[in-house]
Amino acid sequence: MCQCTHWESDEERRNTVFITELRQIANYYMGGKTMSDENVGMSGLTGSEASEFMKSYEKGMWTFVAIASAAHIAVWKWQPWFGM
Amino acid sequence: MILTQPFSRIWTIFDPRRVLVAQGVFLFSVAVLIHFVLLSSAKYNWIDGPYAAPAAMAEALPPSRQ
Repeated sequence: MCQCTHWESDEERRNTVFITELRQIANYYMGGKTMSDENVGMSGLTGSEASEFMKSYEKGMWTFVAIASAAHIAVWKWQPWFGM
Repeated sequence: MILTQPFSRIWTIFDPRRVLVAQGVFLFSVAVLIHFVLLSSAKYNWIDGPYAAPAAMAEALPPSRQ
């Protein structure tokens, strides 16, 4: 029994083979994603990766701000600046 | 200002690894600089404690609490 697909033209056959090979390369080397599967910015991150990074970045940022604020309050209590 | 895009989209433009390294180096340098400036001042030296500033500096300084 013939399992082969019948192509409309040779060009269509070559296109399909090309796309299939691209998909195999993407699966093997790029975790199944190509750059056209998701919008990837100049940094190489997708939008969802960017917002995921933003979550941990904000944690670190607010921790830093909290420690800095505590230090400023302590120093202000010890010796206020601006001649106050 | 109304943002039409989430701010997290900044990380699709700037590589997070480079930003973290650059920001770490920058903040550390600024912190070290400010600590040394304060240590060299008469009023905010927290190791030896505030001391009487040299005459020229004392004129410009508000009176110390100690």
